[in-house]
Amino acid sequence: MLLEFTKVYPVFSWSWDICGDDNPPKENEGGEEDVCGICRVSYNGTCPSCKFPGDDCPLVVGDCNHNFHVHCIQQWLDTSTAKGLCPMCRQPFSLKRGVAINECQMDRLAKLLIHAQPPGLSDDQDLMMEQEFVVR
Amino acid sequence: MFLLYNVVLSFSLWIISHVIFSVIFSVICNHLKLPITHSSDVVVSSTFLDKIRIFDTTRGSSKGWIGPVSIEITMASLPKRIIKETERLVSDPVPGITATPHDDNLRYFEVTIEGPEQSPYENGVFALELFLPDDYPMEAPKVRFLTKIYHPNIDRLGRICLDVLKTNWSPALQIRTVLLSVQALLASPNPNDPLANDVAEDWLQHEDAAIAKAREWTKLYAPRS
Repeated sequence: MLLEFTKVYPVFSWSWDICGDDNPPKENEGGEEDVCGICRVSYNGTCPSCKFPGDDCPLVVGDCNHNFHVHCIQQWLDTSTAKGLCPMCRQPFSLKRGVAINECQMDRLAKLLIHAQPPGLSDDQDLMMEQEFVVR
Repeated sequence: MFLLYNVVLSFSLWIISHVIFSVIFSVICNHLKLPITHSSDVVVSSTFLDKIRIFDTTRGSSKGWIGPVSIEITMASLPKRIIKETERLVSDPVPGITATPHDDNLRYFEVTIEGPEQSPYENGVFALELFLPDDYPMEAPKVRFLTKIYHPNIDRLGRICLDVLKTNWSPALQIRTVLLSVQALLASPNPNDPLANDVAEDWLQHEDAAIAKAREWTKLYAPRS
């Protein structure tokens, strides 16, 4: 049999490389789609304010292995409630070293984290009551 | 030759009629203020299509139309996350909790929570309101009891003292998790961190009497209909 190719359509797909050099890709647990914990859109999609996925709306990998669209986590760390903590595990959020996609975001997020207050040792409950009355 | 001429003629007629129809269609759409979207990046399931359309036509404003074909419609868009959450609240509801978005404002939910078993609020159904502020999910939802309730952490205006609604909010939390926390608060009142001081005092000093009063109020104000 003789096959003749008349046309060839190359198809490319991409995804963020969220694994550092020393971390093999993890199996997806629970069968749930990998989504940003803040906006619940796929890692390879965009944050709510962007139109085009990819370099315009990058992903970052936290030290705690929680990943977010950089715009989502920036917006969160910018709030006073955030106290510099990861939304998923409430540990101080920092970018994982050795992950290529994190490199260009290091400075910007580091600046944000300087302003963020570390969780105080003061009585949380008192603080909560204060807020209760300030807010209303 | 004649055949070819015929084919060309009918083809051009088809094109012309197609153009005319599309122009007429878009003019009609513009008059009816129907949103014309060529590519939509928000996927809306059929369950919510009706509600979304109501939302678009009432809130959306069509900015001056330049030509019959180019119509610019701005929509007060609802973030994808809220649409997703609402869909899941309907398709996979939390046992003992209902949350229905308001027809006029999809950020406003009418909520009911059943009193947890073996709590003073057992057999009661409590009405609440939940509002998602513009900054949601960076800011916590606003939740308030509408039904009168005797509880040390809920005051007479229905305001709730709950850490996840204030300082411990996280954008990883959702409407359903917040409502579950509220239900858990009913199961374990905490008079040591009161919002309704008189109730808390009562709770600390005469616990049995306070629980009896909470039961009585549940029967009185939150009867299961």
